[in-house]
Amino acid sequence: MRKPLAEREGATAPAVGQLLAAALSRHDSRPALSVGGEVYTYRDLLRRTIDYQAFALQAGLTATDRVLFVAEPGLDFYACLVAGTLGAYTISVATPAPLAAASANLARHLQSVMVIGDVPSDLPSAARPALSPAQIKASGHRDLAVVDCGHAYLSVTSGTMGQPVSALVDAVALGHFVSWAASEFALTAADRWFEAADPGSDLALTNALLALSSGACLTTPLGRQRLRTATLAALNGTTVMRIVPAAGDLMLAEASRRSANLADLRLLAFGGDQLPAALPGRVLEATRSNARTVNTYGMTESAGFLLYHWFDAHHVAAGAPGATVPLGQPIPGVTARIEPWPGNSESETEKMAGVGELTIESAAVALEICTAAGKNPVSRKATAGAVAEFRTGDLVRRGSDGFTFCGRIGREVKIRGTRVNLAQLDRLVSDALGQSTCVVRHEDMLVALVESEAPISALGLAKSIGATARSSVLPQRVITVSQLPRTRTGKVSLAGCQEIVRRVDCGE
Amino acid sequence: MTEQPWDEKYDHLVRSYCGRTESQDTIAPDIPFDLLGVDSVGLLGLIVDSEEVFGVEFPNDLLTSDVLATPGTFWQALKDLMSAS
Repeated sequence: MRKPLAEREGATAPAVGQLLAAALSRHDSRPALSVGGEVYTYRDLLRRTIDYQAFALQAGLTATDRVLFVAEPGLDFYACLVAGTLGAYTISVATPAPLAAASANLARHLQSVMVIGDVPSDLPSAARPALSPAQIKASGHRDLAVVDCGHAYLSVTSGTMGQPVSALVDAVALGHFVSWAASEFALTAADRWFEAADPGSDLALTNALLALSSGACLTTPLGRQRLRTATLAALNGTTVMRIVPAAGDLMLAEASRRSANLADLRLLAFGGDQLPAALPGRVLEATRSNARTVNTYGMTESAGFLLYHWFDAHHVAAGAPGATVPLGQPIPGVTARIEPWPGNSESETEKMAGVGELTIESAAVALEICTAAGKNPVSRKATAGAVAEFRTGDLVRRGSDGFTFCGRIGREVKIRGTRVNLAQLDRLVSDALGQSTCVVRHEDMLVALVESEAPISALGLAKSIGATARSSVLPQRVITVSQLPRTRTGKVSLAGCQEIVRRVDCGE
Repeated sequence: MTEQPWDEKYDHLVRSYCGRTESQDTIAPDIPFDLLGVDSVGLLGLIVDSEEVFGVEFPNDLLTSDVLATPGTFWQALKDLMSAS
């Protein structure tokens, strides 16, 4: 049993539920959500949240029950999120699209799955309750109930092969983050926040809590309307966005074909992936915006982001080709340091240059992390109350602008914001091709190097493994060789494979 | 070779965005765009190029997962837009 909020050590900030409850009550007739053109006020969101609290009570749910609500983005989606964050249940929300890939393993993470509305049928369990929004009846109650259960929500990401990782986020740590970030970003009720990511992603959940606790209006396009993010954000008079770099690429591609004027945009934040130095300046130029730019770094296993770096988009663009924007300095309450990591001979050079594993100490680290192998409570440091240490698996270097990302330990990479384990992909491709030895490399695109005498088409491979893995992690190119290069111990040489790709690209 | 349900201009256009097809591959109407290697940026390009080539404008409410699922569903929407204009 967790202690009540007031008794908890280090509880200097309100829990996130209290911040949200205050905003819902205060902003009343102001617009809270604009989803696919439908606008809902804070009063609408408050009433619907109360309905979900009453539903949870009737259904016998308590703050510690873990419920995944699957819904299309809309009033019900955000009311589920807010009710859970207020402590009616431990909430995890997801939109249908990315969830299908994760369906097989969700039972390990959650006690109950509820599907709201008419969403695809290949979701977690045939026995799941399917709720019509009309079944969540108007309760007639007027007040929100805020229950301090210690945790705010459980975020779930599907990972490379649809084996989800979930993280239980601390409510006070998230409240601390939301308070700090709202002040740092100078968020107000006059802001219009445009959400370009899937609303169920951990980046979008943080964005939603930041926008709604500030009284801002959160605009979410529906489905593939995100292809017109720049146009819709411009029409919406958007003042704030926090996007993954891939969304910036998309905005750039869109603005190059159709003019989009983001004159009202005052803050463009990035997160979720390494940020190419040239991208922010190009996005601002293409959308005729003078917004301030900030890079943010966090992970699924934390409440909000942990490092940040304000930068001049035009200044960083002038840096070396291929450079990335630094991750920056820790936010207040977070300690970050570099730890040595067990490298191999290929990484000696980087070790010499001061590269090491980014290690975080903070109450913002998740309370519990659950993978396919089971639940793992994160060990907290006894001397510092709620503070926990977390090794991120990210390699960084420290410079005048704080930390800079240098890669991942092992063979994990980020592709369009998704963590991808290349070793898992090796096995998947190898199994699909009848145990042929295979190595997948991430060059400009994913390339599979396969030991085979017969040619293999990338489309054929995609068809055979497309049901198992996310489409964004399917190799776009296949190179067949009679034998892959080996090290002296007989393992496939990753450096040798890189050389093969280089030679093929050069036509050698 | 199976006859395609669309014209040559559309076939050329779709191929230019498919990251996983060779020139000899037939593009089946019902194969998902993501398996063909068409990502979000590719879909955006396909929409804009289709608007230019076929003289139509794609309204935002047609930007749905159903319409943008496969070359066949997108072609059907294009045909409907062309008929309507």
